[in-house]
Amino acid sequence: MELTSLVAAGIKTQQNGFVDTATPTNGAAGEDRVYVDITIAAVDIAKSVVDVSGGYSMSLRGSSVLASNPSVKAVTWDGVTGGGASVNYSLMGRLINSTTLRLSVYNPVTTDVTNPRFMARWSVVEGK
Amino acid sequence: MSNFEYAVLDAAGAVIGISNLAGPVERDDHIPLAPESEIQAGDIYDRESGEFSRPAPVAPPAPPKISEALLPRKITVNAFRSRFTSAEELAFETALATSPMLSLLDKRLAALVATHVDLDDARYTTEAMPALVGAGILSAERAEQIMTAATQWHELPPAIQQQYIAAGYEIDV
Repeated sequence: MELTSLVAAGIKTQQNGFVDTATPTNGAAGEDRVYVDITIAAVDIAKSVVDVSGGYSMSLRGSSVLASNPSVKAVTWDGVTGGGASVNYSLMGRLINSTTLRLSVYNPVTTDVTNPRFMARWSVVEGK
Repeated sequence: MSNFEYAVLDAAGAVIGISNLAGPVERDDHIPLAPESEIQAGDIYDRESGEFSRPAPVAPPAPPKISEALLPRKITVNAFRSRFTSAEELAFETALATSPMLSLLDKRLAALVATHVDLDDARYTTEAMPALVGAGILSAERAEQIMTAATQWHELPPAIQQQYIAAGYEIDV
């Protein structure tokens, strides 16, 4: 639903929340490689809009994972093992059915990860 | 507008979220909260008592430490020269003037050590130090001592020092 139409019609329900977890679900490669499903009260998907702000952050160990992830700049040097890097991914949000909001990350690094944190504030607004 | 507030639990019973919903949901991992509840992510829910508790804050992990025994065997040129006594250095400089072989070796190593001395480079142990011992500048014991002494923090090239510092290492020296 377009926001202008929603505003013109009026708001029927508004739901919101906060999520903070170190153990999001691992899915198949792609849009849902890492995700968290949020249960909400039933809404009409066609009349609803989603807003998400947050991110998925982590630290990476050593150089092995960095070598296979050229998008991540390695921080390693002679004589030191365990050097790493920190990365942060944006979250995407969508309603996958009338009662589930999915917050997902497109193909983040999933190996040699330490201190993962999936954190977001979300809202679902349903128009009349 | 939302009157149904829930604590969302993970499998271990830890609160991973708070949801304000437009209607009731019936799920084991959603615990209804009273109005004005101060439950927050990280709290623990006890299913038997129906009570939430808040774990004590976890102290941040101590910064990683590295001792001098673990420092890389790469030292500055000045640090390497400082491992020689004044008498040894003077003997070396004198020998350079009279020994074409030592002079040649010195030039080769000078090119090699443009930025730092790698104590594990075989050319030191198989060529340079034996040459100094053979010329009578060093004893075999002194050559061994110079090459095997543990790297001191102040001997490291600044670039390597900075890498340790930037990574948050606490230098235990």
